[in-house]
Amino acid sequence: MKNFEFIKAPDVKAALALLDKEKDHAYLVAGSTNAMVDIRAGKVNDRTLIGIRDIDALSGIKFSRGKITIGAGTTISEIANSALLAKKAPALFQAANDFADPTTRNSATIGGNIANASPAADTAPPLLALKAEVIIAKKGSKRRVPMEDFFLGVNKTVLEKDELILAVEFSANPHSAFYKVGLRNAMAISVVTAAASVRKDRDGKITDVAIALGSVAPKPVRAYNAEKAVLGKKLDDKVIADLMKAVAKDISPIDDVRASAEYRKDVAPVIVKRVLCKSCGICANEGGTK
Amino acid sequence: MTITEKKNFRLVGNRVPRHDAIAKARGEQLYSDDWVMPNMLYGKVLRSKYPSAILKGIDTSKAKALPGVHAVLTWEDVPLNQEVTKFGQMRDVGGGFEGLYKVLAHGKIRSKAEPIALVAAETQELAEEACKLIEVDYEVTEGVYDPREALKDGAYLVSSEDDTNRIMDTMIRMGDVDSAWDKCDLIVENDFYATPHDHAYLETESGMAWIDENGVITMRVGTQVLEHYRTIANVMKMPHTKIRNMGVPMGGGFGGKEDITVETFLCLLTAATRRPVKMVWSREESIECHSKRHPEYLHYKTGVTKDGHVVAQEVNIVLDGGSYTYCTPWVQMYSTMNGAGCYHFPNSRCTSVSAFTNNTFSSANRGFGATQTNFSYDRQMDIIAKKLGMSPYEFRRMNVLRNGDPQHTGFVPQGHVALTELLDVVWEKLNEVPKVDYLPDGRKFGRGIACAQMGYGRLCFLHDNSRVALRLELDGTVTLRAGVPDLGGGQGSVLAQIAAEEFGLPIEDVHPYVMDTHLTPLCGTTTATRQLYMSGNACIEACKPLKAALARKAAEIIKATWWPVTTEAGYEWEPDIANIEGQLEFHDRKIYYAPDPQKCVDFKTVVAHISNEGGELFNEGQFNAPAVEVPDLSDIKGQILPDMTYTCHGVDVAVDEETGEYEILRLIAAIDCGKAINRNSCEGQVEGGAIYNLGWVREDLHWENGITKANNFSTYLIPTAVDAPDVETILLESRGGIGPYGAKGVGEPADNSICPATVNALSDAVGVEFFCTNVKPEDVLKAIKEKNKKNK
Repeated sequence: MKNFEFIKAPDVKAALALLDKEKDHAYLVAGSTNAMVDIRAGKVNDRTLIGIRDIDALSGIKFSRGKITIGAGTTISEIANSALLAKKAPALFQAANDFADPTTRNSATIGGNIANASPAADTAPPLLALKAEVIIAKKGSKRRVPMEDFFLGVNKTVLEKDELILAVEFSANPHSAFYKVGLRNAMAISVVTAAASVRKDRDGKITDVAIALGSVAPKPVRAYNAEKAVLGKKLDDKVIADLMKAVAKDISPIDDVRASAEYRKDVAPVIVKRVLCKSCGICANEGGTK
Repeated sequence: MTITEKKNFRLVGNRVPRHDAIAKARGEQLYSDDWVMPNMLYGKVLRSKYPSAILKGIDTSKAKALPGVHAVLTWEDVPLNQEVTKFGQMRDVGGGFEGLYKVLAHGKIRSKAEPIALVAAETQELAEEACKLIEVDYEVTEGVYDPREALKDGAYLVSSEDDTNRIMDTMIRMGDVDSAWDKCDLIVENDFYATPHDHAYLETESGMAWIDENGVITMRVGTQVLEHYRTIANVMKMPHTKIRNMGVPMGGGFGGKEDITVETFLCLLTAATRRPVKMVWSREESIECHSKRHPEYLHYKTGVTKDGHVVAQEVNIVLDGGSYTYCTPWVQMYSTMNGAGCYHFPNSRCTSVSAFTNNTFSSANRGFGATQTNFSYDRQMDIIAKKLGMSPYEFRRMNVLRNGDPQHTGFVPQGHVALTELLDVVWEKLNEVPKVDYLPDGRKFGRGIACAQMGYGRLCFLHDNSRVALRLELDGTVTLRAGVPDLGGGQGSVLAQIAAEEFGLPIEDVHPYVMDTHLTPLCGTTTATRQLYMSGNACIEACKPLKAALARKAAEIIKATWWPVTTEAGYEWEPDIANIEGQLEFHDRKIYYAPDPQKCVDFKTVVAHISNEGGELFNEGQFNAPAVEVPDLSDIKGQILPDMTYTCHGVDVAVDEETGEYEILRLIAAIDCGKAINRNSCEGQVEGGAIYNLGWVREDLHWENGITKANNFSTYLIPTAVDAPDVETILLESRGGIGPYGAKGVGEPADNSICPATVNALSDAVGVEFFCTNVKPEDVLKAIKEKNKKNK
């Protein structure tokens, strides 16, 4: 039998107090786009749902001194329609636009997307590539966790039972890009996703780079080997070939109902190339080889 | 030809709003799941845990003991647990065509869809809880999941009622294939595979039942086959008069609601509890437990001359019937009929065999056996054209069937054969955009064309017929009653349109009351693309005597009012009543004397006169399709279907050669509909059919040994709005059909030739042949990789 309590938290303080009180029994819901599915499938039951959707303090996109802060309760729609992000974090902007479909985007939140920790979470690779930090609170304390340390495995994160994500924060980087391979143009769980951000010096040498991939490992991953292949270099055919070769060492995909591991291995280097070229302002030739 | 000649259409051919359009647009239309009653219980089916097992025992005691549970039923509680499957036909054809319909599991469990027990409880959740408490003792068996394996000696036996997995064998031949190979310059052999395909309607199987004040078990269930009430009554061991289905419009059918779904379960539960019961299948239950398009394995051997004339073709088909017979024999007839395709082979042979497996049963799915062969023969034609160095258009045009050409059974269709016109118009339209090698964005370009034929109306040996009833109301409106299940295609509305056309009334003056087994004349099934053809003709039949009576009365009135006419020059010529009658026209709610339209009378005035004099203001008309005897299945000859509809599709694709992703750039859909009755509905069928068939190229149920792994809409990926290309629809109107005003059926034919055109375009783009209906980006990339490896 399905058995739930639902409590709507009016503000962050109340939400933290509820988490503190309910602990293991607590189950945070914002957009509920994952919660509804899990409840129907019987994966979630006998819990107290704490509704944080309407907490104003958790919502909004702020830009100050080169830093972008996005409240955890900000909907994917807000991100997908943000002119600021389109300019200053195109990787995240693109991911939000490729996310599910308009109705889901209106409900789903960025905090919920990363807290659910699906290996296919669409906002995870851009946040990893933008080297974001997750700002986490519990009753009486706050902490910051680098995005690359946030995910532990399938549906597992560093979040404690009494913790709540307040926001994600990262430095603006217009030189970032995202690419998704899905099996259709909307409402498609990713087959492979990639995101990259770069900084270059005046000679065009890459001085800083982060590349991340989704749906190719138990959690969204940084592609450290691929990054190493391009760091300190100018992009040319040889470097791109090295980059593509290096991707294999960064991923451990599996066969599932959407695609085979082999396909993911074939496609991941291609889309890493594309996001990196796009980040560097080089025509990525998205259509193919010719 | 039985074309009803009528020249000046006022409604027919227009974009007429359907009678139910406003309600649907406002969300006010009630579907099967929308009905509730006081004191209602919820029904639930317990399905098998395994695709293949022997049912050793069922212990329902714990479930029955759960408070709020009012009934738990197993096979022992079903008055007649085993019946013969029928599909609304008016004639028992027996033989290999009618298989076993088992209500609840007993003996061998044949698939994971097998219903083990039924529960009725106070709430949906209690019913689910009760299902979990039912203890079932299974002896799990190995099972067989490939029909080719199932047909081998010593294969696992799927059924406990038959001693073989073989369902049916058929053969059609023409000329002498065996000696024709010598005359061929090129012989091409290929194996094709057509994948199972789900209907994926928005509305899952659902409905409710209750016992009315007269002891009639009454249902509100959306079904394509109202006539199932007979089988349901047999199962309940009740007279046919005591089961009623007040049909409900369906949220999509596509053949998936051609078989009995919730009806028997609801009747059993409502009879056991004496309370109203509602049942709604979950999406998972729906996808796992209703029929699928038949997976087919097809072998083609085709011989041609070097100048491109087809000489001989041999086709061997193996159909996966799944767990029970259902529509398999009928589908198999369509596959065998269409095996050689819409091409004029002087020598051809098509043999087919179907087999039981432990997969979910196969049955009707839009296209009904024609689509599987259509994919294969039109891929085969494309491959041969390439080998001959001919354009796919030229090669097809040279060989398609033309007027007067016999089908492969020797029968020459009455209706117009528009294949050459269709090929011409599609090829011309395609070439308005010049073919390129690569697009500016770097993607590889490909172009494909395919054509097809498919019958409309049921197999002629079923002796199909339909009836429509009309009643003229005293205010000049018309009540139309017809047992026509409406699955969203406008099946009810088009009858109102035809009656309105005939009586010269606006469409809103004709009220269609449809699909109620107790109150509407039986129209037969909404399957086989037959309702417009059959019930449309029945509607015209129903109008005829009423129009004659109206004309006779109108002639009297007109004559009494205006004749004789005195003029200064003497007397005007005075026509007799019969002469007036013959020159009357019905339009604008009036009846006019055609030579002098000033002379007219209101439609309702004429009705009033007939009523005053005690005349009959009602009529029920019947239409009978051509009827033949059941053919010899080992050598099928003659007329099998009433007539054919022809289609041609053109597709342009763009392929990303690095990821295998592809996009449909253009989809041109051309069909000879004979005569479009409601242009909106007709185009809707053509567009819907195109996207439905296009979906087949990408949709994958991920069957693994009888388990459906893609059992919901996050894994079974149908095209979304942003995946559907704009369909460029071309309606040819030859008036060469045998439906009303020369119409042909379009619903299912519109679901042909898109899949092969798309795969032909993909093959054209990447230079690799594909042999399976299902081509995902992964398959495209794999093919490109293999080609590159070979070329190195």
